[in-house]
Amino acid sequence: MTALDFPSPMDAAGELMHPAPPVIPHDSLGAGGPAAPAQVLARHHVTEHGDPNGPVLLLAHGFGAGQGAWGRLLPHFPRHRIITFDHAGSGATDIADFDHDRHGSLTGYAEDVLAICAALDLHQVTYVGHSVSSMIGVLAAAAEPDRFASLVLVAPSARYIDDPGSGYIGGFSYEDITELLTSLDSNYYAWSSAMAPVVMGTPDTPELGAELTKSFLGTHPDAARTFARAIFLSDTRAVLPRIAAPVLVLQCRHDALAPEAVGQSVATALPAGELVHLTATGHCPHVSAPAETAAAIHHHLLTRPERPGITELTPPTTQLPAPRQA
Amino acid sequence: MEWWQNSPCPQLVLDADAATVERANDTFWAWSGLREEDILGTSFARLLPVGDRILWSTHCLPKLESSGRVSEVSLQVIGAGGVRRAAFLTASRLPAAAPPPVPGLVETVDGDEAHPEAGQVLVALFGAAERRRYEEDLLETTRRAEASEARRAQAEAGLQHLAHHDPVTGLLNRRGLQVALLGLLTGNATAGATGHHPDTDEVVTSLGCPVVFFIDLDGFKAVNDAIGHAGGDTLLNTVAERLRTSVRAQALLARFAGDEFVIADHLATRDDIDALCQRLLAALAEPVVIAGVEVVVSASIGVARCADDPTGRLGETATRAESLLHRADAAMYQVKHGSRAGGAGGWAVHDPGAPDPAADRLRLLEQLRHAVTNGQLRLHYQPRIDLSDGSTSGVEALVRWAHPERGLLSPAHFIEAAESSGLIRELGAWVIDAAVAQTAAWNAAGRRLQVGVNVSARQLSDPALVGVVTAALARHGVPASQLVIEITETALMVDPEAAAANLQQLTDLGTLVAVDDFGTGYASLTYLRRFPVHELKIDQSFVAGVVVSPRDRAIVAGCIQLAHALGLVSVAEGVETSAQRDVLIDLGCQVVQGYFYGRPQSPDSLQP
Repeated sequence: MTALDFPSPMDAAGELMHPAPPVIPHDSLGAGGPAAPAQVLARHHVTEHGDPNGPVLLLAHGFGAGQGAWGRLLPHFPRHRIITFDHAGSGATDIADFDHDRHGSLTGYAEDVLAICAALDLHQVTYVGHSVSSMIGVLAAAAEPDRFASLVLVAPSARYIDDPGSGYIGGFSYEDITELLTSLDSNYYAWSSAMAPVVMGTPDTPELGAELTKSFLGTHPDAARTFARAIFLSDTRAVLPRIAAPVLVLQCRHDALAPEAVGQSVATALPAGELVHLTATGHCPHVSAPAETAAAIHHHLLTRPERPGITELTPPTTQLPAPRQA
Repeated sequence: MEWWQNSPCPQLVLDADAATVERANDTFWAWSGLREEDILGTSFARLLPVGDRILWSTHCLPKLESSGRVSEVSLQVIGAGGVRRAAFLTASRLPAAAPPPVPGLVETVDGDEAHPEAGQVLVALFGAAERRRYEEDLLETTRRAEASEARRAQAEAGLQHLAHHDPVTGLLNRRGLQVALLGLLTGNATAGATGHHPDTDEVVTSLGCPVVFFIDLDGFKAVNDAIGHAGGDTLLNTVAERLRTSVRAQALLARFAGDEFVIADHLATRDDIDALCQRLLAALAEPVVIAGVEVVVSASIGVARCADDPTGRLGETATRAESLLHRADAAMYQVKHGSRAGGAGGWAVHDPGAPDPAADRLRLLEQLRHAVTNGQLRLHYQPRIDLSDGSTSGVEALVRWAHPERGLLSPAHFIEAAESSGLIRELGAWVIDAAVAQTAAWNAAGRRLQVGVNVSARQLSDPALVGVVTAALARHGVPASQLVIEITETALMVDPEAAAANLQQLTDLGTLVAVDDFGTGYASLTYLRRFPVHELKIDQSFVAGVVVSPRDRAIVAGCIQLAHALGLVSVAEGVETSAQRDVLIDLGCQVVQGYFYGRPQSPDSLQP
């Protein structure tokens, strides 16, 4: 038994049962085998911004958005090579590429992230993940630790559902989640129409390309359901202690999805985690307060500790995901 | 101010972070059923169901932050008792320098100091229950349509599978094979009807150039007859399974027709081909036990290589596929009916240089089919003489084919091919109808003749035969007693049950039945009791020797006596000389026909 073999919190919830947090086999790039690099880049609409010779920032958007969500943050990093992309089922991706099995757990998205890293041959990556992409980054870094220089987790949660047994407060109850999965369907039209208007009117960032704006179409409602299920049934807490890289945790005020206690617990569980409280409110500081968010990231980039003994960290040996139960 | 409290829209005021509810108007309290103490000072997001909470957090708040306003967001608000109320939400931030947009907020009703501040967020809700119901209906309809589309697609895939697979063995059927073979030839595996996965190594050397094996089980029909159709199906399944385990996973495997199977695979060398053939024959040679009966199957295999294709690799794919099957069939035919001792078992690879009897046969059949429908067939009639008075009492109708290139062909050139292909049914029906029509014409001219028509084994076991005869007699108004159905002993024995049924019905109708070529078929005479027969036509090979060979003369005498003993008419065929005629008269033969009396001739030239 490894640290990963803890009981699934959803066991009692019948149909909500979900495998223990998956960790990607180190050499795996997904069930379909490694896709050709060009195919990976096209599938995720991988886009580069900034200075091609600068240090690499890989930005991963959150649920219900696309890479366009990063538009207001980009101008703050002119000397970085910034890579943005759309998760499967999000942004402008082809819904046909969305695999309800593969993308039914966060592991699938983490595999996608690693595939993008491999396709671009990225190293010393500073990974910035918003919301669910925080834990996607954590899973990716656990699988390929040497790939990442550090992680920035924006409004992260390692587990959204309260865990009364351990006294953990995630902010959501079982009932909430059951309800959510239902309402995602019944609120189909609200989602469909609400996703688009979120595109930022960005008069201050004219360099935001038209293609980027176009890609901010949000999530396909059918994919959204599967994605939401993957997110809200995930529990990545046990993986956090295995992340040796420096990690910046950005916590907003009044975040209805990731309350302060949640960010605190993430930072605490990380061996090299640093918690920074933003004055920004809500769940999307990179959109609502890009300057403050950028400043925090810049500070982290300047002050992050060297990674001691990075090569001594061997990939975990027992990494098989638990068998799928649902 | 009162009008704000009683605004038609439920409204709320949130703090500058758009997080906490600070105030709400009376319309909101009435609409939601909530009380002030329930929600003032608590999180606004908590008033929303989870999905909408996410929508609010990830979309509305950022937009509000960056543009100061969100409009007409469709969501639900959880009111008293957990009841959800659909609403459109519009929210805007009160500008810092501007006067409060809602003057009533400044002077509060009860004098508390809840002044609206610059930066506070005003939320207005518009009930949207109708709209929500409409959306839910629309969604349900969409989902139903999607589900039914999915079911339709599934049904279509099922039909496609049915259309391309043999229900007995589960292998590809003829049509499925054709589709799959096209896929194999173009290197496009997805065009195939099975999950063919070309291996990358093979593709390099032989992409689009498969080898086709045509496998015919020897004596399957006898087995089928002996053990019944269910047993036959079991045997076919066993064979299919053995073939499956003998070939590579990516090979195409089809049941082409009754007892014919086809394998197509990429094999590089002649050694590979020979090895596979040996493997197949060995696998099939293992006895099969069906219902306690041990059955041994042997097979003939014809092989055709794409590389030998005379049409070359530039030929059209469909043509190449057809050519491959065709050449493999030809090679199989050669093995089965060819020079080998025993006639069956073994394999041969088609040699494109060798003459192709199968191709000739196919061409012939095609032309014959054309001939039947386009009036190239003729009937000639050979007179039958009643020895008691020397009169022409009847004729035998004999079919001729006025072939546009090869001239007038006798049945020897085409009947066997027609019989083996099933084309005999159309050809036979034409003959019956034409003969009856001619009989009617003679009747009209005052010549009353019995007309003999040859019926093949296949026709004889065809349930449609009686209908064909009845229709012809009715159409032309000819009495059934003028028609003599001529059948061979061999034809009787192919499917005795069906033959007996047909002959009984024909006899009931009033037609006569003659056994042709008597003495050359089965030795057993039991069928003479079993079938309703009226004439025995003694084979001309005996008649030919009746003058010079005491043995032939004895046979002919025996046949005549047998016929008379059974109350049948005795007929001698192939009478060519007066000496033969004299002997036959001596032996008491009743009817004769042959060149001595008249060749088969066109109806016009038939002398009275």
